[in-house]
Amino acid sequence: MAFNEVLGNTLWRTTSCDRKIISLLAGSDTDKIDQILDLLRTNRKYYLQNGSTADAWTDRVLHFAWQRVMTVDGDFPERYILAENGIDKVILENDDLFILQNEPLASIDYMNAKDNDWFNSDVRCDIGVKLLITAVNAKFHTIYHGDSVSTELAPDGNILGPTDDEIYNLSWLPSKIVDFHNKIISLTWPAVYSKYIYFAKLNNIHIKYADHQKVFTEIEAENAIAVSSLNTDELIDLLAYVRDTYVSSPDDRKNEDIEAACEMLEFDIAQ
Amino acid sequence: MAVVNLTKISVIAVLAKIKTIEESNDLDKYSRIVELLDSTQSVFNINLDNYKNMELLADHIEMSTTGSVLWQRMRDTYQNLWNPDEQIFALPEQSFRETYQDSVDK
Repeated sequence: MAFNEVLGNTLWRTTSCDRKIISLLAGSDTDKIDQILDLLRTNRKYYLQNGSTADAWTDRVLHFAWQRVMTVDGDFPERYILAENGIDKVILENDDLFILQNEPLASIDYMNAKDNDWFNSDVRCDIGVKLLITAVNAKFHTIYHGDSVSTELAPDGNILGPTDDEIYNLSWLPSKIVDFHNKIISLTWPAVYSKYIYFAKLNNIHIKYADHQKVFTEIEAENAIAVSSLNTDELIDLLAYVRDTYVSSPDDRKNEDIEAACEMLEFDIAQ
Repeated sequence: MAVVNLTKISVIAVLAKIKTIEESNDLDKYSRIVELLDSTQSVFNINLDNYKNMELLADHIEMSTTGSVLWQRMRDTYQNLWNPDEQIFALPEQSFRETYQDSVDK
């Protein structure tokens, strides 16, 4: 009897893989996410043999892929190619050329290429929103902080950023980020309005206006849409999601505005 | 009253919200505004920017750059507007005159 048959199943492989992933996460290896992605890739077929669906496996990969460092343009740095016997080892997702070796995952290009129907889980919507906001923030910071190519100064001595018109029509952003924003706010999972759409629109409001009055007037309007679209449980879940997502961010004006938006919404819910 | 503890919200956000409520057709809008003010009193303990905050105030609220004073003025005004028995007396003087004149004309 073959060794593999003696074992009876391949569950031990996934158990071992999960244990390694937990160990890697607890460790401090700088490439631990890459190692985890390799483990998931190598053991994909065993996960699928033991009850995991292809979608669930993809979501798990996305969960980790998102945690890799992203460039300003929403791309990930080139990742080393895992070779086996001198041949590039490629794992396919349902044979649709889901190639991990150059890590197109959790990138704006990758997600822009997906139909809206693909965003059918919390993991995918959540990472999509975070990817969008991170890309926008990174672009924003390149303009105003340090490494900007812009050297023109405003009368107050600060970097002269985009004009009001450019901010309002989002033309200061790369087109693929704008396309991705439009995709996110048109998602219909889990419903035509969701915490993901709220959060993306909240972020959009913030970058569209420099004037605080306009920001909060727009937030007030968006909160009204949220209250009329979601039930109390969904609104409480929305508040938790927005706050959880920002809790680890640097404390800047944007965070204060996001918290103010949450408190305005809390007041509406209480009434 | 639904007083919730809103401590991080900024004065401008509160004023923007008051403006939205006041411009609505809600029958209980003045009570909602008073509840909002009661929920946010602590955030008014600052000095305000005269220019930025003036635009968000209703005509019947007199601006004060001392946040706590502005809060009290708004609290008193909206509390009076909330009470239907006292409402006509609580209206701004000009509105009172117009209302009075209308009633005389009829």
